[in-house]
Amino acid sequence: MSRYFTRVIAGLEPIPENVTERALLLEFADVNHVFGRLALVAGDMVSEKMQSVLENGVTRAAYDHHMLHNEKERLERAFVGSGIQPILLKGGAYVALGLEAAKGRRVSDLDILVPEQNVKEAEEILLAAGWNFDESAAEEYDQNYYRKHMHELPPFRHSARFTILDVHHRLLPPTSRLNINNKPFFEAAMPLVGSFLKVLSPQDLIIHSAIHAFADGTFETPVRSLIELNLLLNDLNPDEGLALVERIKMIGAEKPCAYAFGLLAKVLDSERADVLLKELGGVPSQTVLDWFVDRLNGNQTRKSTKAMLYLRSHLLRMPLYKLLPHLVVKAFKRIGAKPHPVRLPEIQ
Amino acid sequence: MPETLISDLNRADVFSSLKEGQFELILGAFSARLASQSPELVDFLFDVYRDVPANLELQEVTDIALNVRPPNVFRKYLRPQVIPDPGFKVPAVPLPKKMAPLSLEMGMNLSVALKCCRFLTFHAGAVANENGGVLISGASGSGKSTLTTALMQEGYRLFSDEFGLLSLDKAEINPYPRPVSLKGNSISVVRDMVGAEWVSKSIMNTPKGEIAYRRARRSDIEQANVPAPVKLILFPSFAENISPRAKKLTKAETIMRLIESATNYKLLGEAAYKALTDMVVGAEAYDITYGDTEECMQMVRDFAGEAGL
Repeated sequence: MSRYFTRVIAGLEPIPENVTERALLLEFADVNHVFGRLALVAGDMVSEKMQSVLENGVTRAAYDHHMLHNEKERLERAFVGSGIQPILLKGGAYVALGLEAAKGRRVSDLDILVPEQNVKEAEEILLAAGWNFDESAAEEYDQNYYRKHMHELPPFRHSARFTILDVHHRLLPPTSRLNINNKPFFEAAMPLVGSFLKVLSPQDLIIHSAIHAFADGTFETPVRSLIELNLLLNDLNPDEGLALVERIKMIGAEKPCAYAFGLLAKVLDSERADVLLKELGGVPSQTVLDWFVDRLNGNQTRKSTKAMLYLRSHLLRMPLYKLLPHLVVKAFKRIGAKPHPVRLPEIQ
Repeated sequence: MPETLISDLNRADVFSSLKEGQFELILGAFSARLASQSPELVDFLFDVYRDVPANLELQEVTDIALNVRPPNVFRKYLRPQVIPDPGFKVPAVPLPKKMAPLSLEMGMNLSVALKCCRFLTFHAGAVANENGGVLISGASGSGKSTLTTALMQEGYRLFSDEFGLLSLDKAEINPYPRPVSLKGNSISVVRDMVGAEWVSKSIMNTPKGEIAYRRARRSDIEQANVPAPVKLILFPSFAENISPRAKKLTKAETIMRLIESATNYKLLGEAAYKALTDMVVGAEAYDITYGDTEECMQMVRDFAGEAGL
């Protein structure tokens, strides 16, 4: 069912006629953060009622994009004259570039990449410009952990606008089992028209998206990642497509890209991904691929699959002897932790 | 297709429809698909929602999809509890199974507040007569629900005691006549005012104390698709033993206060600002402090008259 829904949202299958299936499709899209994408795909091919329900997704995506443009501008103001040219990553980059992958996409926070030697200065600039470290990682343990082991600074939250900003200095933690070459990303980064901020090259957008989905984390938003990868891949012209495999090898991202292409071929019948997978030569593990397909089930995910992917994500990030003490500390902190406050309108 | 009201349906059919997650509730601005295994919820629907149109099988996709379910498998059997699950994460407290109606109401309210952005949504009571609408904006405990009920007694139809739903293209509010939720002392006040048969039996010892619901009238529900232009905006606050006071508010003050009470003002951006200013230009607004409902209503009647209601 979920493979089918994913294909519907990717525009490969028509919207189902059956009302219950439509209702389940809406919930699936909502849970998987692709409600706005579904609105785009459905257009006016569905009932007026369904259009008006989907309109909620369009409104939210529009708000996010508006917020993102503002945040981008504030970033520019903060960094102007510093000589640092942050690279926008992920959703922020798609929106700034006006890519197909941005349409209807929700963007909850901004991610940027700065060269490692500029991290300290970037941190000072942001703190001076009104960003603070988010409460969730303000404690000394978290601060040290991020700085020692992670590929990013602890998350920032703006003190007045409450928007979240992640500052990366590499694409994966230094302890990661996958040892990728970060330098080419910086070298190939391209200026963003009308800004001194930069964006990754079209090929690197795909490689980073694959790394993010398959080598970093628990495949949290599987449906969105897959649809995004598909759209990014479709955006490549034939020449860029040819150069992609060489690029992947140079960066050392064969493994996550093989999973990405394997899954695109398996779930979305992407011929392009199939060709790329063959050229890449690495056949991904069928077991892990099946876990990923399982993960597409969203809220109905099997608990065991989720646990396996959780463990896998951590093992990918750091070796066991470093990981275990961290998981123990996290577990104890969780027991004593206060629930994170949620901002809510006062409703009975 | 003629509408079927819940009171026309068979109890067992409603229960099995709820179990299958097929139960469709159609009520003014928002429709809902409900799922639950809770017999308490069936009783509640047949009592408080009895005049509301519903379908045993889903006829169309809905604005809200809500599952009132046990928080985990243990709580299904052991001191059973329920939570509202609207398909996204909500900070809802698990409640004992017998409080399932409260879970339903909270879940529907959270869905409207966090998910629906077709209207600029105020945390406010709303009523209207044939000349126009009244918006009653106030925090919990301000007497919003009591005043909403009192105005219903004066011949106004119920829009909602919780949400003022302003259209984005017209200065009109839209009905969503769910039951009026009453807390603590206001329950006996309303029982005396409208007659006990219109108020559900109390749910005791909830996290918010004693809670009961005043049913929407059939006439409120029949006109649930008829919007109204806003003529009067009230900001009540309740305090014991205080003589009633009222202050007329400027347009600017009114706008600032309503922005504070809107759940999705930022989200809707410019459209929200336009809709809000259009509404405020066509309405009079008052801040009211009161300690006695009848004394307050005397002032409200005067203001309503001046506003052309």
